[in-house]
Amino acid sequence: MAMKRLALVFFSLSAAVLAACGFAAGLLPLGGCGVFLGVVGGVLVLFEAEARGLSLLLLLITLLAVANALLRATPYLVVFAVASALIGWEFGLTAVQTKPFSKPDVARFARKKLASLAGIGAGSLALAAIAFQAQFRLSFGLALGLGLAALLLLGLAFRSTTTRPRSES
Amino acid sequence: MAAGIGVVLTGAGLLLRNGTVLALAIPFLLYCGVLLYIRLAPPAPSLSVRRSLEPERIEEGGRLEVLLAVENRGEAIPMLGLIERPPLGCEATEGMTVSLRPLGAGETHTLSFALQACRGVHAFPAVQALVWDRLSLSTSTLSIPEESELFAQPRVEIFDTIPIRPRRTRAFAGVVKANVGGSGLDFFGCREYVSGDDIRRINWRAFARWNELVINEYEQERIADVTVILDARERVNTRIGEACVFDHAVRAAASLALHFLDQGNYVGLLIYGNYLDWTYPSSGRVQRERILEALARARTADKSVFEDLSNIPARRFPPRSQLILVSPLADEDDVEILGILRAREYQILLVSPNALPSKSTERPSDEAFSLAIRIAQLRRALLLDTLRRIGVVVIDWNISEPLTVPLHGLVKGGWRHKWR
Repeated sequence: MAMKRLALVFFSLSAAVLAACGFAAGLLPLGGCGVFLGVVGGVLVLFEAEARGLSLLLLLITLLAVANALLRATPYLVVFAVASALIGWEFGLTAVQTKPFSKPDVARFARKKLASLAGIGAGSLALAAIAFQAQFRLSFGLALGLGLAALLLLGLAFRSTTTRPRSES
Repeated sequence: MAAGIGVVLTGAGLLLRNGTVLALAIPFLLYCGVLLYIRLAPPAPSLSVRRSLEPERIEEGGRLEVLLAVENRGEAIPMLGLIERPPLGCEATEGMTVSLRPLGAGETHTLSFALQACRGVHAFPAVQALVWDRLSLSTSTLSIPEESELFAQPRVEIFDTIPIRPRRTRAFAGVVKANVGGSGLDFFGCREYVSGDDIRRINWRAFARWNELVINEYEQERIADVTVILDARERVNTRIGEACVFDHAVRAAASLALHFLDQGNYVGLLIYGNYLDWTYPSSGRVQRERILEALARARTADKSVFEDLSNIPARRFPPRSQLILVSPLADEDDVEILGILRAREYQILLVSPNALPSKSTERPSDEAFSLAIRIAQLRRALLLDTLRRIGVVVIDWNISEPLTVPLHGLVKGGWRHKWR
């Protein structure tokens, strides 16, 4: 329950920030989309949707964040919203995995996980702040390097999913 | 998923030359980077599992304690989720079958719970273990096999006496009336004195009357061959709510088989339905185990080859022995087969579980239902009457009461005349 509650909180927070950004910019459809995604997120988390549903929600929230970013919303808020959605997604997935376990055990685990994910969220905001503060020119070489590094990360991430630990009985 | 979104956002940011879109990729890339760092040096849990059942064998519906000890033989595990799924047909009644906690190196964690099992031989599935890393981000799922079997034997009823009269008995002393004069308890007849006869058995009243020495003979009691046939055809074993007539039939077959085994007889078992599950007649404790195991595994089946009783392998039964058929019976075809067995000089005791009395109270206001039940009861009575006429001893057993009740009625109602 603790995992589900945290997933709900973070998804709602993300949707609320994006909706507020949309409404603040005077773009009612964007704000409406934020509210809609918040409701959908709540439903998906409460009814323990499969990983695919939660991933789709994360994708939709990211698209909304991109739309907000292109329409000149406050960058920190948009990054915060995306980081929140990512944390909510992670909690949502773990909620399904930890469903069979007892509430006190899951609550203890959720606290531990919250600390790790809060670290990632804070780190993301800090990195974004550094990126926004530092003025650098985006050359072709830098862009190519960044793109290749991202692709390499993706490849390694996929490869790492295939490794399995040993067990014996 | 997160890595994919991160890469797409990076690409979009670079293409659009938009710093905010590029910044949106940061949480995803950071998340993936951390995950990757963890996964490049994944925790290598080495878990050893031991499961103990106390007791290993129970009666159906009984309770047993399960202890699952998980030992960590590798590095410390920051968070370990253990899921022990009870086998199908078993239910955890007490204790915890799951746990979520860290497990230090060399530490052992024990799960203790109580199980309630229905009839059958239940194999435990592999233990599921979820291992999280120290940041609680990455999960590895392990399936740790630990073979254990739980044996839930059918519930057994204890009977005082069940009168049987097979045409042929074995040579060894037992409790079954052999229809042969000799030493025993029940008076059997008289014969002329022969030199060497025990003088204590001389009938002095007959001597006084005829002036000839006459010896009293008693009926010999020996062990016999008994074959219990359990009818496992799907179409005759109706289901009433949760319970099935077949479960009652299995309990009856087990109780009868064990009763005759305990008397020292040679008992065989045939489960007729799915295939011919034949347990060769024998006696003793090993045979008891064989029969209980076969009955624990017994399931109903719908096979066209076993649609009626015509495929009963009569040649496998010891000639002129006692057959005990536990069957609700289907139709006249079954009666015909039993008639053939009677003609081959087998003595047949039919224990027929009857679910109709308990079913008739289900829908008292439904006239059509009541009529259907009445017709079924009449049809059944007709079948059983036909069987009685051909010399089958019939026990019409209402399954809502113990089998002892109709058996007691059989003993009280002068069973000697029923065997022909």
